[in-house]
Amino acid sequence: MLSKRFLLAFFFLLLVAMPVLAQDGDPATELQKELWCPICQGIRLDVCEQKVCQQMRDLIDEELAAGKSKEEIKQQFIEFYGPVVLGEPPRQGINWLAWIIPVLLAAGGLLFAGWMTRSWSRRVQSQVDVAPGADAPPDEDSYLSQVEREIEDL
Amino acid sequence: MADLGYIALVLAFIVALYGFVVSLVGGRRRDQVLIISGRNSLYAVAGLVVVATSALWYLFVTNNFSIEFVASHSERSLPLFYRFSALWGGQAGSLLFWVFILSLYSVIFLLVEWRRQQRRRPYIVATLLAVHVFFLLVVLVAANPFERLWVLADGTTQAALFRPGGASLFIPADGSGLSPLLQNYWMVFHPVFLYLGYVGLTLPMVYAVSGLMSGDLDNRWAKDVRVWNLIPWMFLTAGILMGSQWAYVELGWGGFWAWDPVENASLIPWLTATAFLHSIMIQQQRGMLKVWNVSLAFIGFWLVIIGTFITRSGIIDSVHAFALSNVGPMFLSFIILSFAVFMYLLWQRLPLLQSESELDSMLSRESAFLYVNVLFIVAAFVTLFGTIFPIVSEALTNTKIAVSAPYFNKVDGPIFLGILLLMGIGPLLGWRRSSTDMLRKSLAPPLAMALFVMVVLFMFVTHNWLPILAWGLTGLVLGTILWEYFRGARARRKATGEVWPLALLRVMGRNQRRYGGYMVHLGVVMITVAVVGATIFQSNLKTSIPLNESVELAGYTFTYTGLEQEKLSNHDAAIANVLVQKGDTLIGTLRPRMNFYSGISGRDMGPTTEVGLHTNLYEDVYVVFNGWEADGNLGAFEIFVNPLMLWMWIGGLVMIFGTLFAVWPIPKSATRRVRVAAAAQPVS
Repeated sequence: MLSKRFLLAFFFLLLVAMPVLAQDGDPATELQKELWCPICQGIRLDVCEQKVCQQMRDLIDEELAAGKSKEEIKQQFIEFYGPVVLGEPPRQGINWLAWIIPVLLAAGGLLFAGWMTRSWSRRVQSQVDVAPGADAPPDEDSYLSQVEREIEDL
Repeated sequence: MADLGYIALVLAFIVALYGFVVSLVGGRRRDQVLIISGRNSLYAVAGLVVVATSALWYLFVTNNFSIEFVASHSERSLPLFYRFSALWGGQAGSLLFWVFILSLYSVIFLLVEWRRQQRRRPYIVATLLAVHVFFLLVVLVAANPFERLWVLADGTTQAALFRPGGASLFIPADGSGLSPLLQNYWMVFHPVFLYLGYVGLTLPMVYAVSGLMSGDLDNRWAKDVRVWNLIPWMFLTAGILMGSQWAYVELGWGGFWAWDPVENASLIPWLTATAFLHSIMIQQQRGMLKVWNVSLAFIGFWLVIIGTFITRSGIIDSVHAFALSNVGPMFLSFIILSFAVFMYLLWQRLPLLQSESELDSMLSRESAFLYVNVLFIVAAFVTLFGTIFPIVSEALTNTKIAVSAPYFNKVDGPIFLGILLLMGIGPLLGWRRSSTDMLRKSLAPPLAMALFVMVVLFMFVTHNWLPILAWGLTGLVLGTILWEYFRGARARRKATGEVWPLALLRVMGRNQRRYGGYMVHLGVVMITVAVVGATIFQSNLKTSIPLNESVELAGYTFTYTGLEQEKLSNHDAAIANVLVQKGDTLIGTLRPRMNFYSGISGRDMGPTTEVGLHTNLYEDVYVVFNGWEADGNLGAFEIFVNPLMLWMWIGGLVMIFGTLFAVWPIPKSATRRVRVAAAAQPVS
């Protein structure tokens, strides 16, 4: 059996390691991977063969050489081509909906499942007529008989 | 031949309408003559649809370019193989192909189910025919593949079924060719499998709706419907993976899934069908979730129609979407009408759909199934929402936005991780109740496996938390699967004294469904491993290489050794030779190519690429040839190294094998023999 302390230590280690994730690579490549082709749907800038993307890649190199930050260049592209280059809805105005609704759906779904299981099990607790023998959870040895029972049910 | 096809379609429509009405009336009046007549009209419709589809195939094979659909999707030099698949290369043909598959499924379905489903019979026929009526109407009115080309009096050409006044028939000397992107062998099989999956999801809906109409709603349907959901589900799985393989080798951007609306349209019903195949188990075992199951069976079909609407109406720009057409309004009407009819039927039968059982504990397999179901449904609707959101946003703000991989990875990613977590825990829980003690005991080995995977990854591979978490979870699922196989075999061995391999085989044979299901889970584990590996650890390099010089990427050396040209029946190819070495070891020569198609659609589209690929269990080396300069003395390439990619395709095969194992009918006598033998043994 794994000790809780070991688990805790492991997750602590993982947390400590998180900052390492912020890997630093070539800023031009990084930016190319964060931007999307303004013409084709769903093709990343670094792999797109469109002329406009080649120009965008060249521009990134030029602007970085001129000392602009990644964020500034990104903003420049958004102003010129529109939020399409982000590949995701910008977090502003009506487009916030795109981010809020999935969270609401997921939360609603999980609450619903929680409520369902609770109502199922509550009904039983009030009835108390559980089949004899059912109180003891089946242990390891009766695993086969559990499997067998499930087959018979099919 | 075109007339024959057209007449067959018109007749099929009339007979389908007739069969629909007599089946409903026959069902109401319990009039066997009408019921039988309804069934026979379904057989007749199927025959007529087969005639119409064969006629279109004949027109393609014989290069009959007076037919607009053939002229715009084929050409004389198109290989026979692709002339056959050109049928589903455009809107009108693919809708006819939809009906064709539906007809085939309907006949098989009736042959198998007619005896079993006494009360449901007329309603099964009526529902199947209702779907036929709709699709035949769309094919006849909005997207007819048998329209001819005419030259009008003013010299312009027009496609129409009947001769417009003063027009004469126009027969182009050659067709404009099939889209070069579709001229790939995966594009021959992928659509067939996808359609078999897509259209097949009509059958669970037919079960649900005929049950609601007849009032025959006992739990037996949960057992009967299983195979009719699993088989289309398996085809859909295979179709989606083949589509990914096509995107991977043909589109040349190093990836396999772009969250394109067409891809999403196939994933969304897959998600609900997966939810459904889990939730019917709860009904079968415990008589619970009845309303949920009936609704899911309908929603799977409904989402297929919505997906077809999204992709076929041209409502969303995408690589695949066809031009705007009047197919859209018809689909939209059907979507609304079918939903209204279903809700009415469901509301009427609610009293028959009460849950029969309860849980003894909130910690049970039922609740795990319910949670996983909810996650699948949420994933489906979030994906649908993201797919249509650009239209909503553009309509409201007048600014175009894109909803691509960054969005879907962020919103669907956590849901998929949640599903993995439940895949690891769910199978270890017992029906009705599980004590935390028992769970802890059975969870220990899988959890140990997960931790082991995570520690090894952290120490030797990466400090990036995302792959550590995702692969850790796959470790948990893998641990659970292996532990379950081991426990089953051990228990069997204890009871019968058989040797390990025999005990394992016997326990698997005794419960195909359970162990087949775990095989499918194993396939999912492999695919997850590949997806995480190839997305997060992909290396790529865009470069130009002078002749006989090299570049390096991820430990490989790539040397450009020359350019070749090749002439094929309908296209020319430029092939670059790239010598690949890893360290001092020679891997081989990759031959990525650019294809230049001569047909009209080829000229419009520019060259297509076909990648040079070297694959092994560890990683894929993937080279795209993008062009050349100076008479081939300089080649432009994009090179990718995609770790673990092969596991995606292996995982797909394992999923299909697992599904077949779970549904494969074993003759009763064999099962009985094993049962008798097992019963003779003491069970501890």
